Amino acid sequence: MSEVTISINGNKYQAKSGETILEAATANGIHIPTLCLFDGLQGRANCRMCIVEVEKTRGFQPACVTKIHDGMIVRTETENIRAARKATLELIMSDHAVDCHHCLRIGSTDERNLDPKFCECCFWCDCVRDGFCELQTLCREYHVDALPYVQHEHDYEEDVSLGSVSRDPNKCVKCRRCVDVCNDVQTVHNLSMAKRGRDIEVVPELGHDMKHSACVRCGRCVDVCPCGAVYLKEHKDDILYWAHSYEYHTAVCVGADVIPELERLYQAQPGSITPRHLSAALRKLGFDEVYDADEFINQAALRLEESIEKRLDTAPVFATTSYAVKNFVEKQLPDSAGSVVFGESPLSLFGQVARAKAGEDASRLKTIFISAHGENAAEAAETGAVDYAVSARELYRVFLRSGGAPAKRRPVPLDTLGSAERSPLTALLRPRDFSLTAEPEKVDLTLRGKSFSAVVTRNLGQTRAALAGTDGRGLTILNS
Amino acid sequence: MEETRISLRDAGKINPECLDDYIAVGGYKGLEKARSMDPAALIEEIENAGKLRGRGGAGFSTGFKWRGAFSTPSDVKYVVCNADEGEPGTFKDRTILESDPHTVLEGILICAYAIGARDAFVYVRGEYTRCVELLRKAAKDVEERGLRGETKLHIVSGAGSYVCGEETTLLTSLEGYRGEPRLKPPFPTVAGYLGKPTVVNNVETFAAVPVIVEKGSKWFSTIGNEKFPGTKIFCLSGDIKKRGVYEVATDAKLRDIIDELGGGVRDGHHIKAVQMGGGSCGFLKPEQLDVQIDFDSMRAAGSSLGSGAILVLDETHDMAELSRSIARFFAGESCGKCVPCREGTFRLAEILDELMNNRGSAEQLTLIRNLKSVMTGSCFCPLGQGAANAIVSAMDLFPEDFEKHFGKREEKRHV
Repeated sequence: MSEVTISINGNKYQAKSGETILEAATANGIHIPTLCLFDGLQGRANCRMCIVEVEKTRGFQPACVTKIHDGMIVRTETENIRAARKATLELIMSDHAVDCHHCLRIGSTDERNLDPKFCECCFWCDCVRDGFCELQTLCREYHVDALPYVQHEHDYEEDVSLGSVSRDPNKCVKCRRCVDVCNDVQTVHNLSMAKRGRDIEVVPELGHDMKHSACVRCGRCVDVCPCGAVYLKEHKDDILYWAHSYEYHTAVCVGADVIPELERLYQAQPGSITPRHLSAALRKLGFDEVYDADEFINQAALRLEESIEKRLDTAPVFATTSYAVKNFVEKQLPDSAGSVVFGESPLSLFGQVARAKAGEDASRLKTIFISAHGENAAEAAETGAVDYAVSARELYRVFLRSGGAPAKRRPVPLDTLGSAERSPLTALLRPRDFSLTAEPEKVDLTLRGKSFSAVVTRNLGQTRAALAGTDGRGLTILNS
Repeated sequence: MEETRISLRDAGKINPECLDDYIAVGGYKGLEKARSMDPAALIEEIENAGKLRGRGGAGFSTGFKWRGAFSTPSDVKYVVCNADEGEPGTFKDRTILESDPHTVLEGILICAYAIGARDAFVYVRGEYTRCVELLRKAAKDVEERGLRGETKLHIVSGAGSYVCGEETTLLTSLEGYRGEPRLKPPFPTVAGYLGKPTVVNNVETFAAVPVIVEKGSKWFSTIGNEKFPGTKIFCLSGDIKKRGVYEVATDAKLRDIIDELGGGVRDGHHIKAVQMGGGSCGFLKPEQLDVQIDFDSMRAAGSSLGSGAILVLDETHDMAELSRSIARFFAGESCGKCVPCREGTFRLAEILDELMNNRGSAEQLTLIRNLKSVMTGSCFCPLGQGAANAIVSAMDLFPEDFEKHFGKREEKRHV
């Protein structure tokens, strides 16, 4: 990689050749807005938000895919560019089913100072992404308020057939992140684009609804959606109702991975929320028992240990506790299903333990499992192992609605099962950080006196590749 | 004035289904001569042909494309003939293919020999079923007669998308994906079909190649305008007496083509406007018609040669109505990839719909101008970049046609 010199907004910078304008600008602290781009997915240049002026070219160039060359002169913030970006946003918004915070839409409130009390009283906002939507943020950055066009929304039906991963095509901005993650990263090949022009839409396999499509419920499309077009069905009103109801007992299981996500949403310093803070905030909402998900991950690991131990000597072992991987293997790789050990998931163990503990009162018990990205939402909805599975985003919205910010609470310890036995597999089964670019993790591990190497896959594409490769021994933990 | 036929030299003289007919009038001699030449020398010949410029619409130098694909190192190279003729008012490729498919195949085989391509594709517009039939028959005959050399000919039918006439979109469609444009650079001559160097030329360009090779570039340079030699096929349509396809030398004047070849407008009427080059090109007023029909003169006159469509309109037409048709066409043909085109073309059609319902206003016309400037700058491919050109051109030249549709109340519409 050779160094080249480029000029951005009149200043000279050194950059590596082969980089895009966006990469070079970001590396030097220059902000260029993007909407369709996502780290780990191919640059599509669909949204036309990252357009910049490049000298000696006609029109604007998309910074996300335009490669730099020596002596390139780039301008990222001229009046024309800002006007074009704003016009593009206006075009998107006049086609978008806006049901987010009205006071934000008219540009009067700063996102950081979002007043929960105000939310309670206006009830204009109904979008699951209200407050942390990339489109909303861009609209605020470019002061998009009164639109010059007639608001002309589509009239698509919402697809809530799964009860977990839901789609509202009326809010879709056609960035294609969900399509790309479904096809290129997860290799599920469920979502694709159909029709053309303004009628273009994202459709599941063969135009079926999500429930009858090839969807394996991994939920990655939710993670990448910039706005509220693909989302997890929310239960915030239900869980608050049960929490406040004296006749019902509520048990919550919350993973440690929820905390970084909450801190990100609160724009708080890392470390400002601890599990004990979270426990206090959840109890304040009215939940009766709060467990750490790690205990149930440990339980799941202990169970898995038994079933894989014997197999390890003879052949490579694949194991998983993920509901999505189970669906994926059964639907798409039925030939490999025999070689995979499907363990009980932490979510399902939590449901069993909580119900067993309640005994006769189990009919008046509500169980809630909270994870960072709600990756178990479909499992809860479809197997009924717990009553509700909730993502960190939804928990954040619950806290906003009820005013219970965890960082402000006095820490309270969590409930515990009191089991002391630890499995070495626990570390492997813990949820990983969300990343589309991460490579499979390699871990050396000693299990019941035997040392071997283990691999942890990070997405379904890697899972598919791991199951296809037959060479090598050891353990592979499959993730979605 | 007279027609000068090069690409259409055999049209009407031979049976398009009969290879022997084509050979009897001197067909495949150009190919024979080309194969006796060194590929580099052959490309030089094409480059020397007074810079044979592509006849598809952009006017890019054909020799430069061939040179690019020739000099890009790769084990596999492709030739693609763009027969996805979708520009409104254009029907020249269809005429060539239906009257003389072999001249196009000969041109393709010469190009394939020059750059060293083993596979050549003809991507034919989906609606042109007769062309596909004829081309398949012709390709089979060529194969049986042993003329194809090392190149295999594939005839592919499109599926009815206008934007697939854009070369990168055509290649994406050929690969089996959604018909959507992709980023340039890399240009197709470097990374085209399946990422390999690919020459994409128009039917009319390929049809001219055999004659140039056979008779030499010097001969070709003497025809027509010096800077843009050769001939150009025009598709005359609209309010004109003799509509049809005419091939003329490039030093002809636009007015002569309309008046002499086309016979002028209907009796008792006069020309109001002429649209050159298809749906995305600007209009010309009657007093602007004394212009030479080459790329540079046309561009200087504020229009474009484009694909060679000449749409003549008499004074009975409402330019606002016509603009609405154009806007609806683009709204229906946008692939939906990028925001400014997908939403912009829809809004153009919507605003003009309102206008035609006599609810227009000066503000809405300003909105159209704003949309044009955004779309020209921001859209991904030429479809969106050019979608508002004709509309704004009509607004500039014939403001009265738009103003008469203004509503009485000029209310500002909020969300």
